[in-house]
Amino acid sequence: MKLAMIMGSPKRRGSMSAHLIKEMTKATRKAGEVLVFNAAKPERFDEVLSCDRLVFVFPLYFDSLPSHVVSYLEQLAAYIKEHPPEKTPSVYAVCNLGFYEGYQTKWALGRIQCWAEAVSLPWKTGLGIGAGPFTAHLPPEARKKTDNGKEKFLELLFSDTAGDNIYTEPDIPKEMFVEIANANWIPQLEANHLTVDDVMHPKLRHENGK
Amino acid sequence: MKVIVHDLDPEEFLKAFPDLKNREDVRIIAETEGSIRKCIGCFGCWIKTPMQCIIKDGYDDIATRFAGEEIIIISRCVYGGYSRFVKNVFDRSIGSGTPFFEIRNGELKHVLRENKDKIYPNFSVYMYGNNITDLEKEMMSGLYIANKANMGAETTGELHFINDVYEEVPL
Repeated sequence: MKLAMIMGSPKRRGSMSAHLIKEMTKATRKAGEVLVFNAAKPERFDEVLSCDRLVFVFPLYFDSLPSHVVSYLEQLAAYIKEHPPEKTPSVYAVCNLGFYEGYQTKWALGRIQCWAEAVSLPWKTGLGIGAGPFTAHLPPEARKKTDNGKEKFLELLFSDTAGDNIYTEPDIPKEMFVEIANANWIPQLEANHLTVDDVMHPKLRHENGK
Repeated sequence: MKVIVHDLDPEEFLKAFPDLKNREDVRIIAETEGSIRKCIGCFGCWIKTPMQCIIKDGYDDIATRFAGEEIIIISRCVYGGYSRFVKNVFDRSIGSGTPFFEIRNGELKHVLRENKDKIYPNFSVYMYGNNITDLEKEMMSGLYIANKANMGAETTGELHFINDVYEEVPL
């Protein structure tokens, strides 16, 4: 089994998507091989399509896919039209978001499903990870639902099985999560000599009427 | 201010809608400043220079430009969502909100600034294409509702699926 993991975060380092790819690669070791591609570099499409499964891994940007992933999908679709692949790899997607509710990824995962339909590849399932970037900092007891969701997703991935999308959220109350997440920004603002008030009432360098 | 975001050829668009030229109450956002670069997820527009993108490519002020009493989006429908350019305008405009979370109608959203100009009271979307599938319509309809909720929009505005922008968008 050869898996193509297509990394959809534009961050060069430290992204949650890269972390998830690492985790899934580790889990795949005994079951097969993983090739990692970057959606910011739309190339090596022949290698992508030589795989048995395509796994798009990306952050939620404004309720949907980051724009460069849209571009990647269009270019890969054009390649498929020109060079019909010998294999018909199954399509999976993993989307993480800062918000608590994993289900807010539904419309983004759905776009990958629409893409799969457009290029006639079998869509299998998606995983939406709520509180994604924060989960790594939560204690194990607060990650149970997240870990269960990841495990269920891997089972479907390894067995090439379709299923309903899986959505996860942390095992802490929503209100507590909001407090933790909001407090997380304060040191970052302070490091830039900014206050919460600067964010709420920004002094723009210029008002642009273009 | 009426803000129109579109992914069509900027010159052809103005030829088709000449009344929009030089209107002080209309702002058009199109790919007129050269190719737009992608958001790099640095959060600089939240925590370094609020409302200003750090990528200086002519679109760094999108968060300021992408605000008005009326927002009209015209986008090719690409796999049940916005096209690359239009989506990029959304991505590069996250600085118009804040990084902080709050619970609105039971789910997490970003805290919006207390400034009426930054809240979109009317948000209309025209998705064009000849073969928009039922699945794409379902996904785009969900995305449209989510967008409105995240932008703090009132319930006005509608989503339209159309074939021909120049025939069907009432501008």
